[in-house]
Amino acid sequence: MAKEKALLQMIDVVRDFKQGGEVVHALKKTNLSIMAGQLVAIIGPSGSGKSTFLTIAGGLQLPTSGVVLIEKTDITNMNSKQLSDIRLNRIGFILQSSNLVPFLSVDQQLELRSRAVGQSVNKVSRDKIFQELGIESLRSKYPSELSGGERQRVAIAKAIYGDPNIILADEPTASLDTKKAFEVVEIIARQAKDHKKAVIMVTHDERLIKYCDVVYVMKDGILSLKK
Amino acid sequence: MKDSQSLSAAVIKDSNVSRLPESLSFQTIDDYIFTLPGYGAQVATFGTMIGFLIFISSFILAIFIYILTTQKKNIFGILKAEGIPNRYISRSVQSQVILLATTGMLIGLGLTVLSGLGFGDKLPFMIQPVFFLIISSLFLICAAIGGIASVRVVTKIDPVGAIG
Repeated sequence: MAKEKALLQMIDVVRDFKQGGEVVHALKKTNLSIMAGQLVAIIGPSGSGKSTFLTIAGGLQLPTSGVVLIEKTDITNMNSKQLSDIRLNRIGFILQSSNLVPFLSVDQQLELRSRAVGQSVNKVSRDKIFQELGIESLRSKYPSELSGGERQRVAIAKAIYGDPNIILADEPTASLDTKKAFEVVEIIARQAKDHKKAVIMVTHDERLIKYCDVVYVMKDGILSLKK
Repeated sequence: MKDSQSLSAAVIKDSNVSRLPESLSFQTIDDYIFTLPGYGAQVATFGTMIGFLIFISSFILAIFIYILTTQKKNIFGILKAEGIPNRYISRSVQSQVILLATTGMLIGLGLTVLSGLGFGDKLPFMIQPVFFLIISSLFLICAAIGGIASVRVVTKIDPVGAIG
């Protein structure tokens, strides 16, 4: 029953890569499934394989072996164009350095996605998102005019604008103070609770754990449930 | 016979004049001007300077466009990670390059004509449409080459770099 609603599944996923003639096991055999409405945290020190995990979950690179299912679709044999389509339509990314284009206004950040697929802006969905995240007043501002917290809100708006079912966040609270960090995580948690998205958040900030349904620890490429 | 001693050169409009002495040879005006001391050397020097100026400018233009685009590598990496199609990014880069180059060229042409008017009679200045057209197309082509080179770089960016 539970498996029915799994939006992201990893089955025996392994990722190795070569570095100076030596094989590095960046991600050891990983099994995981994430349901709609779940906020999952992955914590661990830098270099533990968190980023590798996130790039495979997000269809940015393929595993050396194993299967990745995104909404029941096996992406493991896809070419780069098909992967790009999956990322565009199924996954929303919130990145560490806030994935905003410096020379576009907040409005245009969202417009870019519509234009890339040859559509006009979905004003209804955009205004709803702006209102929900409390950023209506920032619409004509540029990233350099925004505070760190505002920038992350806009990054979240950008990530959910295409209405993906899976959201991947890479250190979304880096460089934010505790209050701002909690505000941002609350918004991310609401995406899981209210909008039934599957959200994975990679972080080394253990204060955020209280918002999460499941917490995994990544260490030396091994993913395990936190006790 | 008396004519050949008192006449050392004549400028005529019609080459079929027969009353000139046999000892004079025939030359067109253009050919003759080239035999003036220093004239040929001067033209060659200026010609080479202008030629190299155009060549170097187009080269710099291509490199400038290439650097301008590849400097935004990080942004393109993020866009690609988000699944924005390669085709859209390439088309945007190429059309922006052409827009930028055309605008620059038109401003340049306008300034050239304006300064020509400003000089008035003080400086020999002539608008040669064919010459202007060739230089303009050369600049556009070089900008496009810079654009194509940067599109190649952009399409090869690995979106994995956007994370971590």
